[in-house]
Amino acid sequence: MSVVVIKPGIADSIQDNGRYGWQHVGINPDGAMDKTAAAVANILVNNTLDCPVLEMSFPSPVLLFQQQALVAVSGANFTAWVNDIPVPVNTPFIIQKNCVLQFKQVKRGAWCYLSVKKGFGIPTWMGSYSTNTIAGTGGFKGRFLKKQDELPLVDTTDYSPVLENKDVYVFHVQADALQWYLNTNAIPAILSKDWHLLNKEAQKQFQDNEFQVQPNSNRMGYYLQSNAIKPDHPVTVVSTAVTNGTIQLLPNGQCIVLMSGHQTTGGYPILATVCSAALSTLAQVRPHEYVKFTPVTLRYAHELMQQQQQYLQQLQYAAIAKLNELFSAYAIH
Amino acid sequence: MNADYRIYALSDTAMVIDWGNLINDDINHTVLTLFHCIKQENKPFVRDVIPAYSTLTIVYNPVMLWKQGIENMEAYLRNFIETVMGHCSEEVMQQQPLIQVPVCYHPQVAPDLLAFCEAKNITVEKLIELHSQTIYRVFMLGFLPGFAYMGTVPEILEMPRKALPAQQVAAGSVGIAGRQTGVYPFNSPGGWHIIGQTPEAMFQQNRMQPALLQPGNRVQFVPIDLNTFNSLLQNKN
Repeated sequence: MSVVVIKPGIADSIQDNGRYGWQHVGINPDGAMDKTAAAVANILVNNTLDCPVLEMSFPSPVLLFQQQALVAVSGANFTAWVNDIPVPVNTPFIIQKNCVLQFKQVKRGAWCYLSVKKGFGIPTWMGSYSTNTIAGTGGFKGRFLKKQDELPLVDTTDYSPVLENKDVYVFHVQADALQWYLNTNAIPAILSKDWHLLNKEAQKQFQDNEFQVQPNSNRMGYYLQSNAIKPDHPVTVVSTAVTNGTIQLLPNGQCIVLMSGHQTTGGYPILATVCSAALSTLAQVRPHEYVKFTPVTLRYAHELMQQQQQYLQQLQYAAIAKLNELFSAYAIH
Repeated sequence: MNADYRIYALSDTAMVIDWGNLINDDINHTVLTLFHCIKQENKPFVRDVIPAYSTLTIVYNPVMLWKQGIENMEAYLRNFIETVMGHCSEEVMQQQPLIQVPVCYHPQVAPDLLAFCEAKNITVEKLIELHSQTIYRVFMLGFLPGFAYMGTVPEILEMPRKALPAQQVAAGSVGIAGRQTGVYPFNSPGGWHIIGQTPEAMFQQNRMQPALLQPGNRVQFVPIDLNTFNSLLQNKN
């Protein structure tokens, strides 16, 4: 039994925490754009954090569940509906056999994650479930989803005692999303390799600039539009490794910030790299919206990351307790 | 080991050892030596080691280091890097295999071959001789999965990248840009001058090592004619 794609979205792909260990041969890590939301979606259905999730942009897919399933959506709020019933984000729910999950409009954010209990039944490639669309492998057939694709479900639990004859059962628990998204007016970033190529004035300008995310942005990178930033002299740098969050300065004075589908190396000057703990916030910024960057120390970046880890751990304990409580009341194992 | 370097953070999960903004055989040799030494350490907190022309980037997992009780992560990583540098031997580079890659230098499969020879005022035969008699080193991979940047191309074949990249370069295309040569593993847009094509799969998802070429490998191109190219290509499919 599977989840069937009745109508595909514009960029639906299977992702996880990313594929590491192969960047020296040019295999980019990929992974979810908003890894915190992917983790939250998994936690809410009591999955381990390495389970594959479905990443969706908007327009999102229309999905038919051929069997009952315990699921959660997290990240962007695209107003999810099960048949004619609206369902909340960051809340686990059980969907009835032969019911349809769809997303009607953008309320907030750019990337939404669907988790299903025990994950989707697909193989890993090079240690990860993430889809690598460049090599055309990993995830579901190495590509975005198409009409009639069938994502196999693994969990066979009978949720009928909870569901009865309803189309959906929504749990009385919600993860607090505000805790892990930061202020987009002060996205913390570590200054890096070529920052010194800018004079004091240009450095100040980078910090003062409001950067608008451009519509041609995608999983590889977000193109940013702002007042052009010019080094004193034209600069050529030889290619070096880049990473998720790296802010490169293009020859026209505009910046691009690399996202989770980034190439492994790049040959543009590197000004700064967005902190790991802020990548989820950045990923959820929609085209035409603005961001500002604030330089921080490495130590501060690590503290932020640690706080985020602790939050996820607490959420995990709370979610497990809540799910166990309900399931034991209905004798579901 | 070349001592003139600086270490800095690329991000809160990556440290860089940087020997200067140069494309230079000696420096890249140092980069690749340390790449192999750090790989051999097999440390669980090291997620990726990425060599480039004159930098080596170490992607690490901070969560794993916290669990080991490490407080000053930057100091710990600097110390780790410099300790490995201290006992890293160049022997790792002498064991690098020589990989032979068959290449058909024929206008039918190499759209820029004739224009390239004309611009350089050399015959196709001379180009084949010059390109295939050099043993190249894989400086780094990037751009696409399995795309190896190799050098150094004989000076007489030096050619700047195209001003306007071609919309579509066929998988297997062998190109020259500056004094580097490389093979496109996938169909892709590209700015390199295409002088040949290999029937060999540069990237195959089902191989244990999907990329044919690894950083530090030595590479020689072996000329083949169009018939051999076609039959090798057929056998592959």
